[in-house]
Amino acid sequence: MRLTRQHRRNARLLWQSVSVDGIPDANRIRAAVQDVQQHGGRDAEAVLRCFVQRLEVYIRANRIGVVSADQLSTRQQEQLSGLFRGTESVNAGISFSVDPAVLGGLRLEQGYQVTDLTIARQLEILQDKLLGK
Amino acid sequence: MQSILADIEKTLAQFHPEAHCEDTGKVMEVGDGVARIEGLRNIRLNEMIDFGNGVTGLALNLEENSVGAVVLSGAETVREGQTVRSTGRLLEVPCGRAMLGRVVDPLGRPLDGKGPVNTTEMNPVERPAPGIIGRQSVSLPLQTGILAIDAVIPIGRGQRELIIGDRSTGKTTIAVDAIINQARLNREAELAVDTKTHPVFSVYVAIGQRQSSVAQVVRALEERGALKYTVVVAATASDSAAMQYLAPFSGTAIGEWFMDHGMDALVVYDDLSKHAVAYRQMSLVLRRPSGREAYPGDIFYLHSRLLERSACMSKTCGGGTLTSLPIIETQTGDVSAYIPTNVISITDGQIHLESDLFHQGIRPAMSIGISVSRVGSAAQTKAMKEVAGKVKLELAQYYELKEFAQFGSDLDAKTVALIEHGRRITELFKQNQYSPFPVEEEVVQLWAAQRGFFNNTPVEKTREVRDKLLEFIRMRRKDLLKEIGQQKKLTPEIKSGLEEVVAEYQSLA
Repeated sequence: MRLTRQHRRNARLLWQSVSVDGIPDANRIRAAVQDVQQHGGRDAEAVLRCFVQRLEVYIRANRIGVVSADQLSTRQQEQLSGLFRGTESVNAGISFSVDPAVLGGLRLEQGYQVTDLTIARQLEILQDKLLGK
Repeated sequence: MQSILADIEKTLAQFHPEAHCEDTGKVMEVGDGVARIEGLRNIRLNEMIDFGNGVTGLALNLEENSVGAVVLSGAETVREGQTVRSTGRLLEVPCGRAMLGRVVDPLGRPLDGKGPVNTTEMNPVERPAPGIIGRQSVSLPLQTGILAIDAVIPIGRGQRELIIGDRSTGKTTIAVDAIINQARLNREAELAVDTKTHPVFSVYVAIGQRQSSVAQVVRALEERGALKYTVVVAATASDSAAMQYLAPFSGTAIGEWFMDHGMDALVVYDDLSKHAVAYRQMSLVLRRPSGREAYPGDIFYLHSRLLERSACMSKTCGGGTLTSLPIIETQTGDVSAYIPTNVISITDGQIHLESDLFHQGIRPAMSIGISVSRVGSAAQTKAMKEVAGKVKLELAQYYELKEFAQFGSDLDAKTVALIEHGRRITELFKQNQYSPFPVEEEVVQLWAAQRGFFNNTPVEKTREVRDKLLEFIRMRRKDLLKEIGQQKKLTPEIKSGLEEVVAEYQSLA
């Protein structure tokens, strides 16, 4: 099925209708999807597909990820999860991953906002300073 | 070695690890030198993007869920899914005197194998043009050393004069001659320890040209000692469209440094037709809506914001100037095409070159009727004004009468005299490549022509006699030439001196 500009426009309107202060509400999403399926006519599928794409982008942009050089213990993971409790992004999920290349420290990723506290990044910054970049 | 170690120690001592919150994104697709990136929520227009491994990009399309960026170099190393970072910096190029004598790419990276450019000064590639208050009218002449231009279409410092013509009509030659003449004047001022003369530093921007053509220009400048006063910014045909798009802006940023520091600069854009084509390519790949001839809607704004940066600043703002010589290549002489008309309307005049004239041996092949300088005589010395004031009219009459005379009808003596005079002026305007005249010699030539010195000379011998006369004056009365150069006007003493020396030459000839 070809997705047209009109489909994207309708999906954007749908997105706006399910968002409260820019944050999508799960109950509203369910209701809106049902409504579109029932009354959306032949374009319903295309509009919902565009809507799902938007939702995926939103989730990717708000997913919280913690990267460490070594596996974090359950207690450490719980403590870190506690830090993010109460923020809207927590609904997009928290993932913990291991990347030995970071050498040490943590990299916190909230969507595309990255707070890098790893040794690898500090060394990279130091290298740039030494090379005068 | 010790100093390097000390520098490293110092940097290490000053380094404090900090938590940096960075704006990152992910490459969703890449192709044709353009990357579509998801993320980068806080990026600004024209901000540099770090793709890692020394690859940089430029954010040009800010959309709802993605960013369209051009990859400036090394696009083949960018992968889908790769993480990129915003740098928080707008694109900048190195500037300053250290750039003189260098051949660099639009990012300021050296291409001449002479090592890194030793400068810490940077200028943003995109910058608003100077405002109205800081500017003043163009008043100082920029001597190109080409008699036809300096006499009929004078260019002032801070002016934008378009050079337009078909392929192989001598557009680049005029621009290179102008650069060579600036270098000659700078050199003479340096030797004479003349602090009153403002040197003009040149920037030659090559856009979408063959590498061999750029190498030829660089060699020509080097052989004539002009390269040390010139910066060459090259984005050749083998470079990406993004680099070709950036080249004139980088050249302007380099030229602006001289203007900002109260100096005079000349920027040659060779050529803006190819620049428009590169921008069209980039815009189409970025999926921007296209307009006439598939150029994007903002192609006029692209060139106007570039050329508006040329200015003649007032004394309170440093008094620097930035002169532009954009070049446009036309197809079969069609000056009414989209890009030529755009640039004609932006600039302060144009030098129109014609293939027919070129093939007739009139070089520079300048069409006097169509060429114009809107700044005009404000940028001419009094001496030049006095001798060249009537030339344009005389030549216009000559071209009209020449057509009429082709019918073979009997002409009265006055008409014949006008035609003969016009033929000799046209002959005088012929000039060899890379051999600019000093302004005082231009004045002497025109003065002699106006006084009828060449009237008894066969037309085909005019240039030969002119060269002999100039050589004679250089040997016998160099002081006269010096006087014209210094006084910048023809005083009665200078005129009588010229009369004497010309009479002396005639008696010996």
